[in-house]
Amino acid sequence: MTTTRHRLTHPVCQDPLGPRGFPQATLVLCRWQKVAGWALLAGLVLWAVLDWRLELLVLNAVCTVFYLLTTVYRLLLIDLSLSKARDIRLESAELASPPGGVQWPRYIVILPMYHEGNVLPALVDSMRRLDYPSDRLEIRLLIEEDDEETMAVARRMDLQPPFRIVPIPVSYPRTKPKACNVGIEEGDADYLVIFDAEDRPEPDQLRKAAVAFSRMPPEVACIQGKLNFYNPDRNVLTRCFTAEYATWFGLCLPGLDCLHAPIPLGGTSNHFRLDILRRLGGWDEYNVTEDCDLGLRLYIQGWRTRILDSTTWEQACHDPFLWIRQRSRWAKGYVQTYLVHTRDLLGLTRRLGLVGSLHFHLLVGGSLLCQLINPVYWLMALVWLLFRPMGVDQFFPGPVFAMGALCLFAGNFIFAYTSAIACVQSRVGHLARYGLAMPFYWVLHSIGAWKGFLQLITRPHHWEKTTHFSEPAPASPAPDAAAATPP
Amino acid sequence: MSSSRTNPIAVLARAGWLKPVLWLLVLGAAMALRLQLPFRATDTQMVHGAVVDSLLAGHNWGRQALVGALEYPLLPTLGLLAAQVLFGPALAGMMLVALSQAWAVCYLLRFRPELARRVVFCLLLGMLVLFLPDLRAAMTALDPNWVAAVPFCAAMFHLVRWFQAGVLRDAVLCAVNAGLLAFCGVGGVLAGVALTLVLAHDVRPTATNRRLGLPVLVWTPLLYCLALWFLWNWLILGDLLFCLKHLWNALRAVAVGHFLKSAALAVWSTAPGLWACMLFLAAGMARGERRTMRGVLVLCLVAAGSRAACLAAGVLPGAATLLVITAAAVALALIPGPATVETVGGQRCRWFWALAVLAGALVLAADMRYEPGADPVAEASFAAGAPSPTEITNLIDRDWPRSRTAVFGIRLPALYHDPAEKRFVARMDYHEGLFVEQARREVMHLLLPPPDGRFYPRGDPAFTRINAGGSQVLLLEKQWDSGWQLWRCVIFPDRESRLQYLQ
Repeated sequence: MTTTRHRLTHPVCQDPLGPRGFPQATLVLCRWQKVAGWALLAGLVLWAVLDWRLELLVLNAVCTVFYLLTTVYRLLLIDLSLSKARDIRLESAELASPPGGVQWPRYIVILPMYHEGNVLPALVDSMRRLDYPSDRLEIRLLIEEDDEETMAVARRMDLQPPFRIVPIPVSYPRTKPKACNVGIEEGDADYLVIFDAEDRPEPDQLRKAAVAFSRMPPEVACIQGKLNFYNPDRNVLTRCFTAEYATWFGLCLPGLDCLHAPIPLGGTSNHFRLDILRRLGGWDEYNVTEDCDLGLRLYIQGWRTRILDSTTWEQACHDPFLWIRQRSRWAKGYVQTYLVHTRDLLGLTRRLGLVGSLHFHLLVGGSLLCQLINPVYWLMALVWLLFRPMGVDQFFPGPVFAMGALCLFAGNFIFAYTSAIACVQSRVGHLARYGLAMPFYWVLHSIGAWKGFLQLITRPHHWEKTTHFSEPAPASPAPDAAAATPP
Repeated sequence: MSSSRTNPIAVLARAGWLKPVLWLLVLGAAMALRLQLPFRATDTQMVHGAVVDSLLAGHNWGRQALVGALEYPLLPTLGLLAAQVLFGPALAGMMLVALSQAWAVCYLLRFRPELARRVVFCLLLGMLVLFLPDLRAAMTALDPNWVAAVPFCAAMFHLVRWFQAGVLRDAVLCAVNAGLLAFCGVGGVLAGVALTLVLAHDVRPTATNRRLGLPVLVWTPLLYCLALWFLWNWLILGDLLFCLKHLWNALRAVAVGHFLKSAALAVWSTAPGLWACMLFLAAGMARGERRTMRGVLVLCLVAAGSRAACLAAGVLPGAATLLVITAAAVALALIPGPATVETVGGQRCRWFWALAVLAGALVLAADMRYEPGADPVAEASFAAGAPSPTEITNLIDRDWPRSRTAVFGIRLPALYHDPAEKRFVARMDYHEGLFVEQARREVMHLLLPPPDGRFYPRGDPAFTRINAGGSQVLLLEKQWDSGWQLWRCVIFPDRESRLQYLQ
């Protein structure tokens, strides 16, 4: 049997902004973005010189309207998610026989790894638990050629099919998406899924995804599994992190699904139709949140992503410094993705439509902007509460004050309360009170966002790798999953 | 192209928007209908209106009154503010009341999915309003407190749905609406606490139901809203417990006998509908309905207690809340619980009992006479006997042409509404030190109503003392036959003197 080699790592054109035929994060800004950025900065400085009070007033009003929009948007997502969630739910009886009744589709699982020999045995163990016919499955360990540590562990384990080690040649950029692209250049399969090194997918996830694909319309090219943590109770940080994940995967993504909005993929548990993924060019190896970028590219090209009610259990980062590193990469990647897709702003609006582009701006640009400007408003609120300085009220005329007060007292509550709801919904209800403590956790968010934003200027393609620890996963990852029954 | 693609109804149905659009149409129709019916001006509307004007003018009294008075609570004032911005001052009150009533009725209609039962419910509600004079009066009152009906009905609606289906969204929305009731005055707080208690009791972790975290979700909105209220009291009035102290002063001056008399009146004037519901439920109760029953029982007690407090202490305009409680409870009674397997016989029995008890209640209620004076706060004008602003300014201008008169509390500044604060200076709280400090800058008068509980609690320590024996810094200028007093501060301004005025 001959296999076709799909070239997903080589340039196909001379365009420095998209060497592989689609917009890539090779450069941070295109020419007009640079000009616009400098013009904006100069304009702000000039305005400040002429009338800094008016400037602050206008900026404050704009930020307040933006906060209000974000709050309403979040409220809409959560309500849609709670009232008519469309995540795909399948019973075990529906997974007994293959879709179509003949045989299960061929599946490739890719597992990119770098210096993760310590977690490899646990990963292999969890992959062995996948309930899928082994003759229809191929599990590829993508290990960098110079990562002798991981390679040695993998070789010692003497892995047999369906496992296969795929060495990734040393080349730049040295990022996870580059490894993934190399990993899918060869081989034929119907579907592909990517997992991280510390992942514990539910054993029937592949079957569920295969059945789900067979029942979905052809434009559904990707199915995103839900992510949650198996170590939520390690410390306060992991508890808050779990509440955040529960909110994103349990409430926000199903809400986006209801709205037919673009879904920024999570980095793992993405199930793809392999042919479509290859046609799209795979992941952008220059983007440090290649998953988010790919989710948007799928949407822009007219493909749809759906959410599958099957959980992959991950390891929550319990160290604040490592957490900030990870978060700074995500923040940097979101800015990269936003800048890449807004290079052709008019074209984007034309392709997505007004509502679709509003989703894009609020989701990708908006969430990060919130994290960046939050500290300014926290400081202002604190100073106002403690010292009641004179003159602040001139920046808060009636309508702005009303909107600002609404955001401060209702908006923050909505964000925190929805985290608590998400905990109950995701069957980690014992963490609901940590959901309410999210405002303190947002401080870390903002630190990570600022670090990522500044790093975009200094080291745009540097990959702040998430460190995974060797840690036994508990037998029952969801603390009250078994006991969750409605009254 | 197929016709279903172009048909707007099919398009809406496909997008899942058909139901909301239909309900929006029903809401619009109900509102239009309500606007055709009469409205009756109330003092409550006047006070809320004055607070809104003051807020829009950016005055401190408006902010103080917004958070410092439980009898003129925040949500109705903000509702009126929004209505005033949208529809203008002339239409604001009517639009707000019509919208609130229509919205509440829409919620009540949604209790039952069947159209026939909805029609029956409408008829029942109409009969109640027609036959109960108290409810009829409340229905026509131009009272912003009708805003409270919306979160109340919403909370009831979602509570029932939670009992029936156990969907998380219903528990959350019930809790959030119960929390919002904390911004609707004493009655609202009590109703909110009652609803939250019922819900919390139902979601408590048991051996068979360990859905952890639900109690946190249920209690959080109410506690947060109460905490906000205290925070705002601290921020704006400098006293964390200002509104509670105000309430306490009002309550402690109520004699036990007076309270009991009011309670008896409250029970008889408000409870027929509620008791009808109780019996209604008892008639066809199945095991699964006991939870609903518990909720109704708690609400009955809250309704009667709130009404009694309203009549006795004059701190609570409760008629609107009451009407909604009654109507919601009737609707509740029509709903079978999740475990009910209803037979035709059982259904007939239920309807027979319902009609019999309701008929009895209506006969009882129809015999009562609507007495405007029975509820001094919600119904009777508290302005009776008050000197007019012109009379006061003319009197002062004879000797002190530049003097301003301080008016304290919430109703008094509303009565002597002066958004520009040219002649009347409004403050929510009275501190003698601050008043004297102001008098050092300008000549100040103080207008003091009689201590009958209409303008300040009977037990208010400062005003009761001044009314009875004056103060070292005040000189009585005039006392009207109705008991109103005008005092002048004897502290002269530092930079001005009476001689200068005369010159």
